Amino acid sequence: MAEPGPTGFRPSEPHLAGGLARRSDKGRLEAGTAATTPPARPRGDAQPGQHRRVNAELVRARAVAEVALFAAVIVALGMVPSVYAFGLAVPVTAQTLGVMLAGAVLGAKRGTASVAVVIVLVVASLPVLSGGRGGIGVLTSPTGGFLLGWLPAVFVVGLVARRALRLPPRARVCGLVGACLLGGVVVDYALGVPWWSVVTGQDLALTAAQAVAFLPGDLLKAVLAGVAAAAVHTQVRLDHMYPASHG
Amino acid sequence: MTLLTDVAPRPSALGTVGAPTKLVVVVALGVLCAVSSSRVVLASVAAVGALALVAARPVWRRLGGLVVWWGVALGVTLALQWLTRDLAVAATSGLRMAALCLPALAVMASTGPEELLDTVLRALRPLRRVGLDTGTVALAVALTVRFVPELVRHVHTLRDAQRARGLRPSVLVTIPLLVRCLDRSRTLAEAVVARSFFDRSDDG
Repeated sequence: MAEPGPTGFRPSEPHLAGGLARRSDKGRLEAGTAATTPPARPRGDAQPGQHRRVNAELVRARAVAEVALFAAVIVALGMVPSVYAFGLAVPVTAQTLGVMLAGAVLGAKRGTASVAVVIVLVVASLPVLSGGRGGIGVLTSPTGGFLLGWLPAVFVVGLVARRALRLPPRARVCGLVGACLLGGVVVDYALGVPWWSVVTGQDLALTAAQAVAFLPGDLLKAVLAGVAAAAVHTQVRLDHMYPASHG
Repeated sequence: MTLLTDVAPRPSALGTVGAPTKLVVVVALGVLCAVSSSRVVLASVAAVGALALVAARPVWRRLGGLVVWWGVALGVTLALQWLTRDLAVAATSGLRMAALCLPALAVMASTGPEELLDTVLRALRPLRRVGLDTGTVALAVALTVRFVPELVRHVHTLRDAQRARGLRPSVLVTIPLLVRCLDRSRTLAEAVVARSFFDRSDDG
């Protein structure tokens, strides 16, 4: 946090520094913040304890808000009428797009949490899936595996995406698209196709042949999700996605 | 366009059974049907499920979409199995799908969303030991339900904006949507902290 952010903000003034007060001129900053806010708890190294506690709460609340909003994005993308991607005639339901985006934008932990919230809502029979479907009857249906597969899928997308963000811009887009392909297509299908085969009692080969029909749409969505996530990361900085800002 | 316009389940014999029991039974039956290929077992589970569904007095408007979905899946599977294998295999497939579908539909028809949510959240309570606080999960679920209609409205606004500029509404609407969302989540986090949601340290 002590490094200047994307806006180039530099904590030169003690009263502006707030939580950023961890620069070389430590003594001066400490004196400045201590004068404005009397410490409510035993003091740590650089900040008054009050500030740090509020900051920790804010980080936690942000995590919860991000998880909830991405869960809502996944649901909302299923509720809006299907969208047409790049003028294709076949409408694409955008729900798996939302799942891949959750991983690629929020990372493994928070992305998985938002998918878990969606699955909790599905079990609670709320109509959160595309076409107003929901309920435990979806999980036992042939496509239930693809739904449960979102959990490992989004986790893998998030893991790879966090590494991809360290790359230079051009390679970063490729890395994010790769993350979405690996998680959203490979991992999801690895759970979804066997589940489908077990529920219907079909051979795995026959089921896989049927699943190929969905492949073009999912590949397209993975590419879109990767590109969109890269665009989002250039506009919003999510601190937890960058290892340097931890601790 | 909210999530909670669902009609409440009609009072029935099955409605008086606790939701945890019903969920456990459905999962157990699901595992049984997945591993068993005996047609007697599958047929009896399907029969029990059908009876339970009748006893649950379902509101069909609520189950409509899912029933159609199951119908299509069943039709396609039966046709494919009959074409590529034979009638006996197709019959086993059909029975297994019925055995998986009917009990789940019976549970959905007889249990309200609030009761199911309560059950799931209570089932998550042991996870408190690994640092997952049930209150936080409940907050996330509540915020999600609250934000879905707002986001749907956002999507429509953004699409209108694209149309106004002569663009065809496309998937690319997700980029401004996400940027807006993330902005919104910062404000929301501040509101949550301002209401001292996490600050329990002064209580004890």
